[in-house]
Amino acid sequence: MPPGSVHRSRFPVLYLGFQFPVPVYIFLRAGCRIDRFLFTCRLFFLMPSGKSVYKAGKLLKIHLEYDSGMADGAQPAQAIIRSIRITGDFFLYPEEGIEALQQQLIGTKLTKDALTGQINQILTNEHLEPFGFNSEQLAEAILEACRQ
Amino acid sequence: MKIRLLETRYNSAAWNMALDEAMMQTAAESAAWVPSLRLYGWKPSAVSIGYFQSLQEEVDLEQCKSHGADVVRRITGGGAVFHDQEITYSFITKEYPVGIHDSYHQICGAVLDGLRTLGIEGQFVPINDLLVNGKKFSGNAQTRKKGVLLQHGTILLQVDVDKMFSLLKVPNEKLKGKLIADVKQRVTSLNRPFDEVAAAIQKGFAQRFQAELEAGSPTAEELRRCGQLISKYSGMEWNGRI
Repeated sequence: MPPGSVHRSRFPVLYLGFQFPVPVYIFLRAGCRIDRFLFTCRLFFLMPSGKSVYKAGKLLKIHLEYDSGMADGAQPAQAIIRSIRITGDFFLYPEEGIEALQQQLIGTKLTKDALTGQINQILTNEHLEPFGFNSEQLAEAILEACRQ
Repeated sequence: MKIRLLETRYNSAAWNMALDEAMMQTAAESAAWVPSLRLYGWKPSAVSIGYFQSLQEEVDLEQCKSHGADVVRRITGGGAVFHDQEITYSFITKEYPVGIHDSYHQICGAVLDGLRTLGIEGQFVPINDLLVNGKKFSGNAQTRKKGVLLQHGTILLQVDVDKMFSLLKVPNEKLKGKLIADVKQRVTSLNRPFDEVAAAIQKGFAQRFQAELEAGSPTAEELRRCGQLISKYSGMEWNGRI
């Protein structure tokens, strides 16, 4: 880029974020409505988190950060996982697969069906075999962390 | 069939876990190889936690330090264990049932066969527990890497639940008293000497695997790898990774 030239983003809405302070950007993205603005600010600055201790066959301990999301500043979207840590006295074969399980749960919607489906898919694709919990129980443990 | 028998007596937590992994690694790369049964104890006493457990959440490190207890993370899953007055076994083999339940059943069955020679009638309760008169006296954990299976398990000779819980953290401190009372109801010990139980376990493995046990020592290669792995099991990079 030549000196003195102005970078023009192909995404003008995103580009606003570089020109205005974040609250102004959020206000514009929220359609200049104060209620949507406040809701988005809460989500933007305070990422909800939760913990749970869930007794399946073995104990599952979940540390969760999730994002309630705000689709295009209009409708609240379904909450999704931002980060997750699964600990406990369970077994998973091979053990190193826990990293793939945690990583691939990021972005999953926090509903029982979406979680169970995604967990099943990860277990199958990564050839993981859990002992001491099943997909439904892990999904329930994650949702429990959301409710805390 | 032959099984190499290693009686390595009492060692530190880091050495014990390092030797288990070293034996697995060596077995994976060795063509001339027989299954190994190792019987051992822990000195000083130690807390081991499972592969998936959080050190900070499970173990009171200050208390462990003041009691002089080692702390180590296993390469196997399962729960936190206080290794004090007990006998631990490790069984390493390349020939095992494909099903995980089946292999637990087989190896735990060998322990139970042995204890039966002492008149102790225990039972295997999946996933990984051994019970006598409805109370747990043994926890077992297994991993598989590069075609080698390691199962290790602890057999309580005496149990001090209060001391155990002084070193472990519980999810809810307010309910600690109730939890300790529950565990005292659910856990028992064999109240037999180390050597008597060790001899019985040897008989059990010989019987279950129709094998001849040959007393041996760790090989130079196993000890070399063990020496390299001790720093892993002594340090926080592995032990405190979660």
